[in-house]
Amino acid sequence: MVNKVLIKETKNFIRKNIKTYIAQIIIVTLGVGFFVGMKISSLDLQDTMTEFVENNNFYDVKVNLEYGIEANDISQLKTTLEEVKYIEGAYTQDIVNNLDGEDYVIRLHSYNSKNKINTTKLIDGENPKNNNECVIDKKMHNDGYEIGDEITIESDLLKEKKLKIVGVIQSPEYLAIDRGNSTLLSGKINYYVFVNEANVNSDVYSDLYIKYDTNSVAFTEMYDDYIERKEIEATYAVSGYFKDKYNEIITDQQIKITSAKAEYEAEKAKIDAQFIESENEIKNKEELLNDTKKNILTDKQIDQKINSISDSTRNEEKNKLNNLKKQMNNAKTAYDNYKKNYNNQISNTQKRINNNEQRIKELNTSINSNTAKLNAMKAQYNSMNDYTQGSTNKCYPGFSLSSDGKRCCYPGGFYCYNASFGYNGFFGGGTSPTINAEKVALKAEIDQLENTISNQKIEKASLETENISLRKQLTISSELSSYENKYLNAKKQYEEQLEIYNSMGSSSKLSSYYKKQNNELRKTVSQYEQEISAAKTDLNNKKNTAYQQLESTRLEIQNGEDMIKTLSYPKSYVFDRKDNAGYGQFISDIEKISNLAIVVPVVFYFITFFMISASINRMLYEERNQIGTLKAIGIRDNEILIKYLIYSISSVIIGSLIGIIVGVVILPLFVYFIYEMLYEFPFYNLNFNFRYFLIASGIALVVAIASTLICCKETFKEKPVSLLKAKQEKETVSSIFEKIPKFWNHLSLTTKISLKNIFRYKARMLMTIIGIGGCLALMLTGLSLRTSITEMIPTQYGKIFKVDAQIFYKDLSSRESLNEGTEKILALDNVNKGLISNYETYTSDYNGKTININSVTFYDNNFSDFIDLRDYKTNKKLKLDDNGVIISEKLATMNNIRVGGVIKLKDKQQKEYSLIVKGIAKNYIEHYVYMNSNYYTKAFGQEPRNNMLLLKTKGNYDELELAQKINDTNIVSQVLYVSIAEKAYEDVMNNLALLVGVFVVFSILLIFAVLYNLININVRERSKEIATYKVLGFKNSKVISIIKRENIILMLFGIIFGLIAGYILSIIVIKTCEVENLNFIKEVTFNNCIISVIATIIFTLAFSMLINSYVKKINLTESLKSNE
Amino acid sequence: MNKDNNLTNSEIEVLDLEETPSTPKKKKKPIIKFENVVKEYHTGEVYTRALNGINFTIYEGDIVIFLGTSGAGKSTALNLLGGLDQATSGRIFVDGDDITKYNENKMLEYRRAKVGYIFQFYNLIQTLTAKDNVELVLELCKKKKKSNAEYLLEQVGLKDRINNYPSQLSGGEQQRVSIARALAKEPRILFADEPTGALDYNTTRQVLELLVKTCKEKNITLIIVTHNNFITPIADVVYSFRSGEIISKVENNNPTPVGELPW
Repeated sequence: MVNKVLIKETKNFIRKNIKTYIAQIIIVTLGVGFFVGMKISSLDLQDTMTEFVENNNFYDVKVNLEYGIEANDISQLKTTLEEVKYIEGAYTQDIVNNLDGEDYVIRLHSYNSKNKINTTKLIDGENPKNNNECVIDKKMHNDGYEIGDEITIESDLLKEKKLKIVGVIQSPEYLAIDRGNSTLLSGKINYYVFVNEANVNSDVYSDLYIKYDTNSVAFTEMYDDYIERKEIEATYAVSGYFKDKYNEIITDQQIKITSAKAEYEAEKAKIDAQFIESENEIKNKEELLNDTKKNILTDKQIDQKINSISDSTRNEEKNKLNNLKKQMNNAKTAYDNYKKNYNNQISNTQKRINNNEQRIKELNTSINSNTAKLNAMKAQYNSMNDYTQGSTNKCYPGFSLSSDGKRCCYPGGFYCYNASFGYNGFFGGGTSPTINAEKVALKAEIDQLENTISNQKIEKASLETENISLRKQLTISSELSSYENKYLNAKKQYEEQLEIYNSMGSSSKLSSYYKKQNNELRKTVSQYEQEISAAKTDLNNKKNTAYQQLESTRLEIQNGEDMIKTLSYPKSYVFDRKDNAGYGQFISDIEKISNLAIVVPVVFYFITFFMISASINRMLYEERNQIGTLKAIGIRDNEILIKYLIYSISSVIIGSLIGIIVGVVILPLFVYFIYEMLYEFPFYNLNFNFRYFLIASGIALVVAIASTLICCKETFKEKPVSLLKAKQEKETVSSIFEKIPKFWNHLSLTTKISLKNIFRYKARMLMTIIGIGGCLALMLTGLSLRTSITEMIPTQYGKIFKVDAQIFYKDLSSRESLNEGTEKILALDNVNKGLISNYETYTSDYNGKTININSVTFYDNNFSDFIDLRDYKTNKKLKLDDNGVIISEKLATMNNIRVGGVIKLKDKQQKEYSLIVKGIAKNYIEHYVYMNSNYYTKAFGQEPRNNMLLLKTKGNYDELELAQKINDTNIVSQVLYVSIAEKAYEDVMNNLALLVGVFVVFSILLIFAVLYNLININVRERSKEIATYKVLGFKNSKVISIIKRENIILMLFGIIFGLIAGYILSIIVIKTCEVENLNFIKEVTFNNCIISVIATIIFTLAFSMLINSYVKKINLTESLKSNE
Repeated sequence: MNKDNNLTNSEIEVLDLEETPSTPKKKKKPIIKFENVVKEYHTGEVYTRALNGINFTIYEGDIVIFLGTSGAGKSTALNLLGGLDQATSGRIFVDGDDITKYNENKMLEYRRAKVGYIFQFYNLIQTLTAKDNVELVLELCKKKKKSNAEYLLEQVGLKDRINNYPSQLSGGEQQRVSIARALAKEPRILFADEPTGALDYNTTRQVLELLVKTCKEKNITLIIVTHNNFITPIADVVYSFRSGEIISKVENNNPTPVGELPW
């Protein structure tokens, strides 16, 4: 039952209140637009990157190996993993490259067209096909490197270093413009470049990428859980595989070493054996020498000997002598006899030889002449015919015999046949040939002669043979010489013995004999000595030469053993997508945008409710008369009410529709624009999300309808008669101020009027205060959030972490080398102090998610120069004791842990530990657990290993140089400068601050809309009053000042309210916008309060200018017309 | 008449007793009856008794004038009659029904169907044309679509002004639109609260003529509230109010036609 005319009237009504209407629409647009926009922005961004990442098969898991991985290893590893879709290796290398005079850090990647994982998106040009081609990233291209340019990449990994740029690409490994960190130069990668895999000079891939066959999509919880499981599987598989592999290598190596050692020992033994003979010889000689030396008689001994000679001895000697004489004679006789025989034999033999030779000569001559004769005979024989008369060959008629008589031919030579067939017969036969008798006789002679020659030769040969053996007999003389030797030996022995016997005759003879013997012996001794020393020297030289050959082998074995000792299992590091700097950062950022989207609209909706109420109230007041009339005429309340509902609802609908454009297009594009500074978006996905739009506009609609109905209810309750009259004013209640005469009496009249007015119209007062206060609260919240975000980093890295660098030790077994190396580091020029400590990482469960926790263990309480731990509430310095740990603030608040409570940690093997919390420290970034070594031992059952050195530096230094020097000690695996981590977080925070900037802008727009509305309402409500003042003769300026005074007083109240509300709202919003691993500073600073207050004052005063124009332009007659 | 040109009490009494044999009394049906009606207002601590237990009866087809000075209670009585307000105590009968017992909905029906209102300040919807203002009311009574807005406005002599907005009409024209609006409903009773209070003499005359003529034609009971006793002769009955009470009732057997008043 809608009254058509009233509907028509609604149009006019809206036109009449168009300014308020538009302000309303703007407020709704802002609210809906912001909420929908922020939610959708995060979804759009996420959607874009998901598409890019999935299209390009961004890796699920990445494994980084200390010594790389071979293609063979990869295919073997694949068999130990499940659900693997692709598994590939790639080369990566960070280098410092000089381009056009400046040094850049470039990360090189290998490109293989067959690769399926981490495929790059070609933006321009083409992919490298040849070794002298490369493709560059957008950043490098933007910095002026074009397709066709030539660059030189100074990497020892490349075969061809001069490369031509053939294309520009985008890789899913680099979502962010910040290309990530490197250990080189400033710690930041400037560009990335892809080269042909074939151009890489290595058989070992530096990275391994795995992609799994899963349906879960990036950025979802399902995916995160899946990958968590897969990472664990991969960690075990890879470390297990390499453990086995390296165990194999070590075993092989050990076997080699063992066999080499054995060989060495064998060789050495051989060599020693070689010399044993010589050594033995020397030993023997030495023995001989000693014996001989022993035989040298001293004078005393000689005398003794002389004296000891007795008769029996003499007789003995004599007998000996006689025997020896006999022997000598016998030997001589034998010799002589033999000699005689021998000589006879010799002469006979010689004779025979001579005879034979004579005969041989004769035979030779005969043979020769016979041979010549034979040859002649043979020649003759051959020349003779076999037949004296050869056969007469007769040919068949018609055939004629050839000239040689051997063939019959038909004239013309057409056909011939051998005449030897003969033809005997019809025409008379030929005759058989007559055999040549001479020839036959000659043959007999030849044969005979041949026989003769042969016999002669045989005879000759036998004679020659005989002569050879005869001649041999001539030369054999050994027997003769042995007879001779026997005789000579016997003779010598006899002579010696003779000498001995003779010398026994007289002591002087004997003495001289013995002395002579001694001399002989001495000669022999010195000879032996010389021989021995020569032999020894010779032996040593030979030995040394021989050993030297073994020396290099010995060194090799030594090196091999050393190598095994220092060889450790190659460390493998398993990463997932979140560890990729760009990806991880991205996830964090979209979370923040999403969080912001939730909190802020609540405030907007509150303000919307508020504004609609104010506007509707104003309109109801202005139209009281009309409403009364309509009621009097008999029109239903509902029908009258519809007008206002249409007003509110239509403003919401229009606002929502415009809000869609803001929310779906403008804001997401703006957010893309902001994030373009940090990320490279391959395209812009703009999605329309129906759900959020419905939620946002639904709430707005409910708010609009609710506020309208609530306001109308008040008015429509009244009787028509009272509506027809002006609204009954409540009687003036004396305000608080009036009850303080001292204060009250000092005020000017206009001020008094102003104050009275304010307290009289309580509703208006409240609305203005809440409106202004609300806007200030919003601004303060925005600023607080911004400050909190940007202050976090300097506070964390300036006040809490006082460390300049974090150094990780290699896994060394030797304590000495660690200490030595550390001392070297501490002695470096720019190093101030160092603190050896322990660092481990653990995880903890929070609401089903895994969070990462850093654990630092100190050995005493002297760490405050490096890390300043202070109580999160009292700010007092915290100390470590043997009974518990200190945890970071966020960790405590997240898990509701208080001092005395327990924190549960899991290590990489998923084993859980419970630690008692003894203190909670202020901390803003990431989660930390601190303890001392005693408690560590208690909690984990083993001593903490020294794997970290915290360093404080001093003075000016080049970070790269210092890192290089530290690396040169060879005990360090990584040097992390804190300044680099700080910078990375800074970048992230700056970007978030930009986002908060969006929020602040929206707040300001809202403030404008609200202030405009408020002032409009306030002024219109008092049109009659203002008109009356003017009619009475007040100047415009006076009137304006009266009104403004009130507004200023209200503004002051509004500011107080706003500061309180803003404080509370700031804390709430900061808490909501926080991401898991960050602990935003929850403080509302004085500066921010001042800024918001000043801004509010400026805005309010600016909008108050509207009052001026209103007062000047007011239509007096219209305003003064009324029912009373 | 005293120096104020008001009837003195005695004159009122005289008139009361006069009966003219040539005009026989018609048999009239009572349409409205007030019984001991009291109306009180509270504004903060101030307590006003606007009507102090008044009684009267009005007959169908009569033209009645409520006369009195400001604050006398006449407007209050009219408001109660028109369903714009609720009595504190007493009973009000209209067409046999006690409207004091009406709830909000019934009151609305009453206002819609039975009653027409004309205000001193016209109370037209400023954002609608003359024609629309009348059509607004016609929409309410869909059964009785005998007349249309144009005809009604023609009836009040505003044929040429139907598409003008109230701001474009003179006071008299606006009041005539108001009358057309009130009559569009074909009410049983027509209330007019100081209908000519903002008009000059000539316009007053025209408006009154129109009112009286129309009401007599259609047998509508017309009740006019005024402080101007110059026009009292046109009424059939004149009730005088003072301080919340009726101090006199004057019946005119031969009410003067409007045009014959000494303008």
